[in-house]
Amino acid sequence: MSRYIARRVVASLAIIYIVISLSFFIVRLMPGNAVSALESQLSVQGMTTQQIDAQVNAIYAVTPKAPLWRQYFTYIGHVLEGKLGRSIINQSETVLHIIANALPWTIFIVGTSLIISFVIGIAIGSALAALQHTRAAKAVSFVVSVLSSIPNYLVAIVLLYLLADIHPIFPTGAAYSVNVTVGFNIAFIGSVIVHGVLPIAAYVITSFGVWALGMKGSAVSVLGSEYVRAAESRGLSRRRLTQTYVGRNSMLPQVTTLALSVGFMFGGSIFIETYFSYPGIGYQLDQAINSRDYSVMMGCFILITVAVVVSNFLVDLLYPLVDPRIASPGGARSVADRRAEGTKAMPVGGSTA
Amino acid sequence: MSIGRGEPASGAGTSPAAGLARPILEVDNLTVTFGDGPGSVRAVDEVSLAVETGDIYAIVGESGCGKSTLAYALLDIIPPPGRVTSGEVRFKGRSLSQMSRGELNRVRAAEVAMVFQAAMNAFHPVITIGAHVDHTLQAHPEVFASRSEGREYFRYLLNLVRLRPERTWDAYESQLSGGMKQRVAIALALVLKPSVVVLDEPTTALDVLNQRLMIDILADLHRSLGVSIVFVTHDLALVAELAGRVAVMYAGRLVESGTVDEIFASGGRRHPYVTALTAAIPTVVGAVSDVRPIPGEVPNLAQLPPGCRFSPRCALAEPICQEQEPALLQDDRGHLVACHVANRLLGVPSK
Repeated sequence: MSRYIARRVVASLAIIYIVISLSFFIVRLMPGNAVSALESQLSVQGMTTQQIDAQVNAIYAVTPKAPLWRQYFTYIGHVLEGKLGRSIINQSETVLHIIANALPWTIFIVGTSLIISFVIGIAIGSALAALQHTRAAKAVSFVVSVLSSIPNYLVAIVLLYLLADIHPIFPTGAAYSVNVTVGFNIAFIGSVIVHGVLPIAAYVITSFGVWALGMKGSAVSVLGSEYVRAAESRGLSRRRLTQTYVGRNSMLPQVTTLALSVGFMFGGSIFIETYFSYPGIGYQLDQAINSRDYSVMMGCFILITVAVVVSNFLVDLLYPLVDPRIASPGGARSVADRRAEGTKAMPVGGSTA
Repeated sequence: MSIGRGEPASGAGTSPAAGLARPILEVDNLTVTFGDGPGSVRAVDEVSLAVETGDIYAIVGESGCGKSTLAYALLDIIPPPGRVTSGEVRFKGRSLSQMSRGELNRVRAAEVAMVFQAAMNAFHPVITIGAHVDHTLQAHPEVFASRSEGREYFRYLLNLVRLRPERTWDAYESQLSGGMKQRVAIALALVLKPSVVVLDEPTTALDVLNQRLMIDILADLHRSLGVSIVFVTHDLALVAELAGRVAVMYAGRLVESGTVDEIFASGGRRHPYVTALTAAIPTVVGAVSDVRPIPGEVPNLAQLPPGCRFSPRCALAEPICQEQEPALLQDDRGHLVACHVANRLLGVPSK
């Protein structure tokens, strides 16, 4: 088990390192070279070479005139210290600060949506599997498939049009109203919730179906498996059958997917956050891409990568607890059964098959 | 009603004496249909048989003849969309279809237990063998005074099937070999001291050494525990060695049933399909050219030939065979054959 963990730790660190390196070189190698573009931009503003170098260093966390390998190691060193540089557009803000401000909103919106759509999806998926031969289940399956294939930004536009424009029940954007004071008070929390309803709804409507269909698929295949019928033949209670025998095994793939989604959650949802002007990571990334704010983009990419890799790592750690086959594949398969008795080696004969 | 253990059934209108005399498990005119409408298929078609207490009863047939479905019907666990469309299965005189879910669950495993085909897949992959046993004991608290007594009995059974209890209890199914799994499945089926155990293809997935071992174990269990055994197989060698009574199925229908001697003795009244089956088996000493495969193939159950279902492949087929389905006729010893030709040759009187 400790070797298993050690292997996973090394693999995770290697992936993070590779992505950070790639994000460094991509910025350096991009057509037009983002760093020299910034240099010329700054020299147009009438800065001296030293000032330009200092500014470029502050923004990209690299020393532009040093050899590439030294720039690379300086950059890696800075990233390890948590220095991701400054925004190009708003040079008074560090990238870290931008991310730290945006992250809570993303975690709130996407995290809440993820939990709601997971719970709804698993419940519907289990019901669909249990009632798979009924007409109602087939009709619901169809509706769910349609909903899960609609892009979430379309639902966002429809929701905005119906519930914010024609019937102005909900605000059209932002994370909270400008009239409330930020802090732990009822007005602020209420405002945050009201502003969160539409983005969360857009996300849930389009994603619960994916969970429902996934859960239905795995539950149907578990229901058809021999060991469920064998458990039934031993007269186990309905509750024991659905929870321990069907439920647990059909949940395994969903839990993996959920953990991975938690990783991707940190990237936010670009479309939903953009349409609702919701100040999360996705919104910041969209802004950064539009204004070619490479240092913010790099910061976002590193954040997303680390989050996905870490959640992958957690899945790897947790999975052996729910599925013992992972930790010791093959296990202690023993030949004791062959030795336990003096078997007479005599062929039993043919068969008709 | 509670189901008595080791005592005659006290079902409605059954006196204790009659309870002892009647077969422990009866299949009466059973039809199991998959699907509905024109595309439906009768996997089991009007099959009747009776298993007496202490019998070792073999149900024989080729793949797809409905024998596994028949085995599932014995515990009322036919996988959907299959369902019983006529007839019934009776345990100690009580029809399974008239039992409540609770009663049925008390009969399952505690009275009629099942060992599945390819026991490889018969265990939940992420819980231990011990947990399977505990769940089973928990579902039937009436069998043992305490959980530990039940576990103790399971250890005793593991010894009977020649496995080491201490290694098996905490194992996951992925840590056991195919032969071991099959034997654990048998021990698990017996843990509630059932009066009948149904085995679906007990030797099919095993190599010859494990097949040999399985035959010895089953004969052993039958002797030492007195359990009635019903097994489904296509392995005639297993039948000849183990079974007392045999029922042969072809395309969902019972074509012959009788004692092992009646089925295997040459020269007796026999269904031509059974004759062909025995001729299709290679022997270790005989020449390969002596093996005669049965020409043609098993009919599609959705498009059955008219008349006798075996007639297109039958060497003895006559015009009547393609027109009229033969009745299952009985001689005075209870030997049943469904064949126009065999029944006429021996002059067995119609019912």
